[in-house]
Amino acid sequence: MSSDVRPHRMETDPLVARAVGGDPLARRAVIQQFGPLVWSICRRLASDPEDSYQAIWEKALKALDRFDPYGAAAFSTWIASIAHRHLVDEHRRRQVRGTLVPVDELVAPMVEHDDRMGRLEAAIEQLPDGLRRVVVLHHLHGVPLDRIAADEDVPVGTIKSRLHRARGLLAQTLVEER
Amino acid sequence: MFETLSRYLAGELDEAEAAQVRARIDADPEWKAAWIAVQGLPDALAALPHPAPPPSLDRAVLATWETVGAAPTPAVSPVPSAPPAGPAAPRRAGAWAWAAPLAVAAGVLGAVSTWDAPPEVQLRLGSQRVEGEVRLLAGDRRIDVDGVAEVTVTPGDVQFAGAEAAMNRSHLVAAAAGSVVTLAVLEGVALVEGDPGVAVKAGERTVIGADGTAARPVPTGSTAADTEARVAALEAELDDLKLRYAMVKGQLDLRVGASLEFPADLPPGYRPADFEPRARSVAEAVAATELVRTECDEYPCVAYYRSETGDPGWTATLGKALAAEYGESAGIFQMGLRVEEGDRVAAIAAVAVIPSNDAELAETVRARLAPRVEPTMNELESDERGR
Repeated sequence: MSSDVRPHRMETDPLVARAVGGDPLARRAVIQQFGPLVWSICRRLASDPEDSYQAIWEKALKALDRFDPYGAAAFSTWIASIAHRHLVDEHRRRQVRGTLVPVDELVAPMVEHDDRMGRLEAAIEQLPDGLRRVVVLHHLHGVPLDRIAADEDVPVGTIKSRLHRARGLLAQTLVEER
Repeated sequence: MFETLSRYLAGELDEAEAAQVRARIDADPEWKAAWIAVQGLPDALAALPHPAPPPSLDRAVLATWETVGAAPTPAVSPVPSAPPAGPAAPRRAGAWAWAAPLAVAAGVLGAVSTWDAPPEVQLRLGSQRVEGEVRLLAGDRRIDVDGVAEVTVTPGDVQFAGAEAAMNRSHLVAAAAGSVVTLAVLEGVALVEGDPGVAVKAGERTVIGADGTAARPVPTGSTAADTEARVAALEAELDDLKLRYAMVKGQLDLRVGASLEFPADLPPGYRPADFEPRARSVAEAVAATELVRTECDEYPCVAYYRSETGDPGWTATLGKALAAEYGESAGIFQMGLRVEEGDRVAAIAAVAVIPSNDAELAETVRARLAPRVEPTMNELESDERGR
């Protein structure tokens, strides 16, 4: 479904063109404009958000000459896709090694957030990596499911299954915590 | 139920299934509540905030941009043995074209491409100064120079393109097979791409071999005295690191503390002899949970619980069951591990309990728990992957 995702921000792409052309003010503006998007992905999906944030930008900047500011894809989708591929690579490098963490850190957000948004954030945190990636990229950043499938190198049906599992778990958590 | 409702929301159910879901929503309050939650989820997710990153990160990105993406640069195909004879298709911005045909020996090592009008190719020998924004290819490595650099191609069978001694972006360079490129940066920076990439700063030089590998940059004009000074500096740095390591290790030892003896006056259920039955009763109180191991080599005993439900609230449910079993005054400490293997997710929790939550004792137990349980957690994780 495309109606339930964030719209692309096409109007910012001329700014990207100026930044690519070397305008220092435009560069600063692009980072300010899209930094929160990249940070949001890193914060929710990366094992080391700060490290990933810089690595993703570095990859994006190196690949900028392949981004078409006047093409069909918005910069937001383009950089989200770069972030996604980086995180998939990172995930594969880690070989899905579990992280030993104090459970009170896992439990605390579930207990302390009494508002719906906070509980939703906490529930997203609890999702398995593969499901969390799909939810965050598709629903929070508007990345189409077929693009996620291409980046993960799996059929789009697999991504849809993950999306429904993830949404099911999130909704279940919200209902049970009421 | 929730997953089915998500598919229903996405319009992925056939008409018969959809009708069945609608009937259940109408008839069953549980289905109705679930449907309301599923239906509102996309909007709620889209409304989650995107906070800005720490300013220091953006400053770092901006600095990277200054260095990495100085200006629109042409996409350069890896080591073209013979660039296209005519201009390439114009790019979306800043159209550029390959240079005129370049006579290149087989197994080209290096080439500077151009993104302005193709120059006349005149081969030159020896070292050349590169100024401005210039792109070179060495093997399959790309080198972006932004500033001034001295490029030396050895051995002398060198093919340099460009009529001028000082090259700029409108010139081409190529070198014969087996050559080695030495890049000394005088001003600005040069980036040798690769994994890892190498940044050569002003005052440094690197050697790019025939296979494209780039040596670690070293200061230019280094003499034996310079080298000795550098070795001395590295030795001093090593001593400093050793000292820091010793301090950190000492602090860690202090923080983790020594193992604890079992107190003589422990109530039932905390001693090695009777710990397991009580731990097992907790597992029985939580759905789809099993007690996989107990360890009582030091105080307090640790119980390892496992669940494969994938329920994100499992640790919270387990915590509630532990509190119910041991009482509100008990100190309960947990470490969790999530193991993903394909679509299968298992959660493992290591739990230690002390009868009263004495602050000092709690601090010691908490500090020791991670190093205590980590070997077992690793073992359980391996078991999990082998299932």
